Amino acid sequence: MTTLAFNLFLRQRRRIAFWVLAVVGVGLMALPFLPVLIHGPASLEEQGAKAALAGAGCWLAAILALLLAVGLSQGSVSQDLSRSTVHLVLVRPVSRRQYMAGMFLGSALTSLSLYLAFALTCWLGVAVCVQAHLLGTLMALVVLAVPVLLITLLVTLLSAWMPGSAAGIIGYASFIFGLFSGTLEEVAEKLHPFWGSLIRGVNLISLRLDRVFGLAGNIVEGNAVSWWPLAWEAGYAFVVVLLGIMLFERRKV
Amino acid sequence: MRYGENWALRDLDLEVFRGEVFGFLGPNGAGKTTTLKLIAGLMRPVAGRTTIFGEDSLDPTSHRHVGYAPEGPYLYENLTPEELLGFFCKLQGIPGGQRESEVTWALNAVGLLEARRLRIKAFSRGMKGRLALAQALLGRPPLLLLDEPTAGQDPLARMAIRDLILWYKERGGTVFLSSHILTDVERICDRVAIMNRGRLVRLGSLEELGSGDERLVVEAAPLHPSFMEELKRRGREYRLLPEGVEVKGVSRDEVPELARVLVEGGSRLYGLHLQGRELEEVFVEAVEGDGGDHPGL
Repeated sequence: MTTLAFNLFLRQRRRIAFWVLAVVGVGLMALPFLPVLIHGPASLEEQGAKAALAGAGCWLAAILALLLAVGLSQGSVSQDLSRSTVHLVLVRPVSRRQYMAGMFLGSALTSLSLYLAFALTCWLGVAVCVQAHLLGTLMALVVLAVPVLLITLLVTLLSAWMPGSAAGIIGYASFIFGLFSGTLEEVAEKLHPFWGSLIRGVNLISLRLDRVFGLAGNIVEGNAVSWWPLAWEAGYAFVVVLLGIMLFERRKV
Repeated sequence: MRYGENWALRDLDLEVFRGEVFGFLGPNGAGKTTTLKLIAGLMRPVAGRTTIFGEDSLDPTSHRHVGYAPEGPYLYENLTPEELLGFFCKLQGIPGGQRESEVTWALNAVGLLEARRLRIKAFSRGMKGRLALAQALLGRPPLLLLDEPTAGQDPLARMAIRDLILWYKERGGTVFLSSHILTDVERICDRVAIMNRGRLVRLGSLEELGSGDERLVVEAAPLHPSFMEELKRRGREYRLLPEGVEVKGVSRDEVPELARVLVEGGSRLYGLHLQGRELEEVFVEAVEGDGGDHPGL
């Protein structure tokens, strides 16, 4: 399983796109901190402004990683299937479960390595420019790794059953839907009961990214937090992996 | 085995013996690749089972006996051959200390040792085909499943691949070779199966498939009438050639007697060649006799 995972990670790292996205992402991560670097820490006198900047850094790191994770994971399994490379793997003493688990792990390694680069940039930015909320920022960044992992696993699962482009489109749709799941719930309250129930039903399987982002924001600000959104995301990720491995067992290759 | 309403394979009962090179022929859509996938454990049959040296091919542990080179696979092009084969060695379970020598051996066997550190994306189609063969050789499995290994190769590479297959056989290996290149099959295979529309239509050694219908090419001049009368008496069809005559349906035992009639009749005999039917003829007859090569039943 780890052999497959590290092979996928190596192949992703050999792509020029990986490094271009990493460099552009790190550059974008520096943007929120630029005004402070130019005007000096005095421009962040208010405690609220410091927390807001640290929170914005965390938010940006996660959003960038989520966006890139979809793009990098969408072809992980579908390319192996469409180009018959999977045959060269499965003809060896490798079970389908091991193959799928390896693909999940490899995709996760790729996405999380990018996220790590963005998170480090964010934390350094907070350390240099904000000079406060360092522990909170670190914890928030760790928490935000979970939705990055979840969307990576989801897109990897999808790519085992559909072309990479379709997996990517659904992945981005899930990302947007997950970001606005709270808003959708509010809208559902005001709609006709049928449409309201429909939206609430669909919302049950949404990624609920807004809740995790809210949790991360509270951690940075030092507010009391509920860990349920994180547990929900972790449970969702577990189900995705389990489902992916079980379904691939019966997949025609 | 079926795809939707069409049967890709039907009633296939086939045994390949240890240590033989087995040719697997058929027109496009005959079910050759499906059969290879079944043997490799990549597909689940609707009914029946496939075993490799007594183990169910769907069991991944049986795969340690198999090397599979599909036709024109995509090999991870961002890697070098060394990295790719190293990866497959790990999957194959080859111990770390042996991996490097195994990779070097496999690359050398297919003539790619000097290109071991180039990215695969820079390879030609023929080189990629040989690399696909190299990955099948890793761990030197007792059974090799090869799907068109000589397709797209230049004559020298084709010869080298044929020699490699024969070398593998000499070491006790079994090779299941699917190919459209009948001359390759004629040169290296012990037995041949011909598939059409998902069914097995011929099976046997090359001699068995071509027997009973040998042709005798007689190079002689002049052809004495007594010889021609003898052919008519024996009911043999013949065709005149610039250098003599080609007689159909001659058995090996008849040759000395025909040569005697020819010489005693006063003809000068320059040569006698008894030829079996070419595999191409057997193939065409088998496929056309089965109602053509339209896939799907």
